[in-house]
Amino acid sequence: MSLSTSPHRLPLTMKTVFQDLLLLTYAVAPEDLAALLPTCIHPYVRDGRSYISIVVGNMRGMRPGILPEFLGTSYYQIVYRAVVRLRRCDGHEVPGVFFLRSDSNDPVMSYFGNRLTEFRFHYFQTGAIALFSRGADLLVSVQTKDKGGDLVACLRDLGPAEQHPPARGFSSVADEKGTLVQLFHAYAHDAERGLLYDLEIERGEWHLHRLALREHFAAYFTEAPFNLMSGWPVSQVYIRECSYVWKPMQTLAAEEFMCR
Amino acid sequence: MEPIARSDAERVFALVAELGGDLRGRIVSERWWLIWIVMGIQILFTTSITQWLLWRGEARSLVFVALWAVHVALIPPIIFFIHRRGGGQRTATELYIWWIWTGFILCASFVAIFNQIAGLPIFFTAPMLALLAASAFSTMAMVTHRFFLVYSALFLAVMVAMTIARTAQFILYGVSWMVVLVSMGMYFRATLAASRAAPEGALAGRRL
Repeated sequence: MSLSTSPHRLPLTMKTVFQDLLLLTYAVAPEDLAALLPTCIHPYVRDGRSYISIVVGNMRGMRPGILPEFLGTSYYQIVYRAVVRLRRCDGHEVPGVFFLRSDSNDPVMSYFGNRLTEFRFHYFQTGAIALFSRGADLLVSVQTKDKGGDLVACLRDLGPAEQHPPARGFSSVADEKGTLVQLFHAYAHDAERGLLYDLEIERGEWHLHRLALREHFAAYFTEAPFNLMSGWPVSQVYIRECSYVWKPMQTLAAEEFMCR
Repeated sequence: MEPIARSDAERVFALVAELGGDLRGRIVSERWWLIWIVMGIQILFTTSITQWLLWRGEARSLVFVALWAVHVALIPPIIFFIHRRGGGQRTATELYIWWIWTGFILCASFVAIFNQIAGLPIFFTAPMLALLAASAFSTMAMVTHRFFLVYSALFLAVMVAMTIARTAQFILYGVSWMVVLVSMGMYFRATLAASRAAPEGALAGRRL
């Protein structure tokens, strides 16, 4: 396990293993992303670009941390996560992600995901999610109820990311990984109560494989809220397996942070 | 890197639904629901005769072997006459289900054979039949839907009941199977309307 220096440890954590995880990252204009974020959560900006990643994965053995994996439930989940920053009043920036949209193919998990405190900022919808692989070829198909999260992507696994050049806009694979992948906090904002929420994760090391995107359709980046001109794919990576731990959510006072 | 149109994406969704095996749709469209109901009645019939023979004091193993051989031999023709094969490739899940229940029938047959080899009455370890069913349903739960764990637990209870009430063990076993199979068949049959109504259901419109 890596990361997490937080002293906060609540009794109930959730564990799972991400299996066959795809991270498909799109670049968007910062002002377009800012329009989708709460006012106290800011887009990460680099060379005039911000980033949103579609994370598709098989969540294997999701369960309370005290239980063994075989008692957990397995399902597919797809998350649209924006790379963001919290800005403290002293100017210090705290990296993280913000979940713009989340779908699963398990109605039970969607039900509890919508109700549990830790996940209440996720927007769960139940969709048909399928991931096929044959040799180095991958096909992802996500059909969502409202069609807004529909996704089809044909990809090819090119092997370890370190053996390939970084995605355009990044100086190295480590730079790309540090910017898009190594993010351990998910934020949400409750404007009515003036609170920010911070969900911290711990996870195993991600051994990235570079993917080549052959054909793709992502309703989120083709129809709404983005289109082919305002959102474009920049990085595609694959992780075969990675353990995850969701620590209980922390509450932060919004007044300690800068809001737009 | 080629962006594709929504219309092409929709075609992929239809194909994936077909390949992925909408098991619920196949259960309805291929009339598995009806096969289960018929088999539920069949097993109750066979177990009732078995229990009646035991109550009469029948001890000849060949009588029971013949009865259950007929029961097992009738399963393929029942499936053959009722089943309506849907189009498309058989999915991995379907293959697992065939494997689970073929294995169950073989193992159940060996229960009687081992009793005979050990010189015991042919149904001395009859509660093991319920244990095998519990095991089969627990595997079903892993490859299809967790709900089958309920049936697994039910057959564990049946195993205990068969051990305690040995004089009525085949009635308990047969009634349990009948309730499980008929309820499953009726439940999936009830989903038929929803399956037909699904505008984009890959299996909608199949022969029923």
